[in-house]
Amino acid sequence: MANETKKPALYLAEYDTPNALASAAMRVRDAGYKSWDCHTPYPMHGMDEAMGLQPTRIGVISFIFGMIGVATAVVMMQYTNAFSFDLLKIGAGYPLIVGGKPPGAFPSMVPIMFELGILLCGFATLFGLLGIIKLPRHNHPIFESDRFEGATDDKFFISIEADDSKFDLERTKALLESTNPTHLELIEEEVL
Amino acid sequence: MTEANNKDYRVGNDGFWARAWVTPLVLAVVGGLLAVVTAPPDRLGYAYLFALFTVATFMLGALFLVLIQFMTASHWGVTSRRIPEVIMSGAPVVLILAVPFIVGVLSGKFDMYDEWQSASAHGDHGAAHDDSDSETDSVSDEEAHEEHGALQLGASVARAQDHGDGHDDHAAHGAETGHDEGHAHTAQETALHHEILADKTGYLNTKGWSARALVYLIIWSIIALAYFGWSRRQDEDHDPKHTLRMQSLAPVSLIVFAGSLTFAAFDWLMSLEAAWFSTIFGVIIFAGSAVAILAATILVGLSFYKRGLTGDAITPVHFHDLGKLLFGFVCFWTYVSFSQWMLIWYAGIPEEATWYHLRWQEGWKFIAYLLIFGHFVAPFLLLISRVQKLNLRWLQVMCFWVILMHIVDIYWFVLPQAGGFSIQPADVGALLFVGGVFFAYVFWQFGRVPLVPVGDPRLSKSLHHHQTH
Repeated sequence: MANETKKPALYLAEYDTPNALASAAMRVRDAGYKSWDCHTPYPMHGMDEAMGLQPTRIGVISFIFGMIGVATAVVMMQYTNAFSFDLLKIGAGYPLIVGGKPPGAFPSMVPIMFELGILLCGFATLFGLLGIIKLPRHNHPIFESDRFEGATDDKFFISIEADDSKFDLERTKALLESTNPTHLELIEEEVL
Repeated sequence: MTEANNKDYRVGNDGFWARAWVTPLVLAVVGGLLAVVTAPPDRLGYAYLFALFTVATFMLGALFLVLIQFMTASHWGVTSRRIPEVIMSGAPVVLILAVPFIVGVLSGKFDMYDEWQSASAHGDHGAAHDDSDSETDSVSDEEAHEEHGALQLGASVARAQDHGDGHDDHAAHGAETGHDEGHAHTAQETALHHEILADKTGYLNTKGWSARALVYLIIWSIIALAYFGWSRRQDEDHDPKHTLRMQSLAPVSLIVFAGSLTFAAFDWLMSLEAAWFSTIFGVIIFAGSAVAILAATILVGLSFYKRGLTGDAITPVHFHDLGKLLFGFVCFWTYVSFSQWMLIWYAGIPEEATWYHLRWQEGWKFIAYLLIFGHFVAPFLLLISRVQKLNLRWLQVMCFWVILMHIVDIYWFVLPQAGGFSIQPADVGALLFVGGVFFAYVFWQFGRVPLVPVGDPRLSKSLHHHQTH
């Protein structure tokens, strides 16, 4: 494997205290980086603002799919229960009278609308979230670092990814060094 | 931060909140006069019940909001807890305001419970009309019971039709001397309807009703004043032992609260339609109370926030949290209200459907649709997004709106029993009177206490409550 080539994947800066991490995060945020992240052993209050994170779009996705679920339930039940038109050429439709109510009675559909709305909303939330955070993935170059294990113990990290449009080997390094990390390393990944 | 910590979070001697109690008091006087002058004698009882119960739901919701926070030992709501605490401290005012109501019912001046009152007054009422049926029932052999059940259905159908035919005879019934003539059916139907009521006289009788009413009101006053008193004492001595005591008493208080609220809803609202029953009714009232108090807490809190009275103790983050709960309880109200309606609609049993039948007449039907769209669809769509809830102006408008809808909700529970749909000056006057007296007390109380529970050991945590998601 002599001709194995490597390219820069990310810079990993290590800090000892949450305060050092937060002030460093604000510097990185103000420098305009987008593809970067903070890694802490526990959830830290106020990191949303320190990192300049935008509100998540997951709510919009959930809402849209929830409403699609509600609409699907209405259309499905009205088509199968209420009308005799033959949209799909599969027969004449089945107007049903259940419990003495007229075919397609709206109130009896509400529980189904609710259930299907919740179901699609739940799926959209789960899979939408997985899509946004790009899971599942098998590996990430950040795990090349031995020191990164400290992120689950007592160390605080900032990683800036090489695919960020502002990423530059020299300038990014200078920026991170100016935030006084206890350790700074460039992690490389293999080019396939 | 330090500057805010030095503040004592008080209303002070001038500004809006120093004199805020004057306006409700004036409204109370105006409303009281309006109600007394304009109300026909058979309307005043309904109007007063509507007003009293609407105001009571604010107090009960406040009690719930305070108790649940101690129950869960939460810190997010500490800074805004003083608002529901002060509102619940109006429980004795509700008790005093309920005295004319109870006296009116006892003396027969308020005749909205006439249906079961007269049934309980003459235990064997049915016997006067149809001897044989009443006799067989009291023997209570199985066969007679089956027959009784079948006939009961017939009576309820007739009763539902009676509502459908128009309200003339129902409205006139107050003016009638005897109760029986109000429902113009055959003697047998009337007798059977009275038998349903006769079966309930063990619970629904004037003595038991008034005794229970006093018990509910006294229980609420005791819990509210105890919690308010401990919280006030903690303002002075900053002693965490008060918090521990309130936490350890919260579970039993909540159980007592839930039971008393449910049975108060049964006694005061459900028994208006004496033959009707719904086990979820108390939960609907509870959900409405929670909606009302969350909206009221946000509105009062916003007013403090805009005038800088609470410093940075109450922030948009706290309003966002309260708004989320408001949204949740709007959905919960819908869920339980629909559950009740769905089951009754689906079963289609006349003795259950009669309650909705009455509330689905012309005029009232419009109010029912207004509740569906105004109490659910609109707040659901207009409060669902985080952007909407964090827009304080928007949140304020929505809170006014859901409080209005909550009032309409209680109105729709009570007033259809009085006849066809018409908003009478007496209804508005009664609401202004009871609401005015209650909120005059509450607003006056705001001027006497710190607007944030300054002695609470969790206060600093709540002050640093940040958005974590």
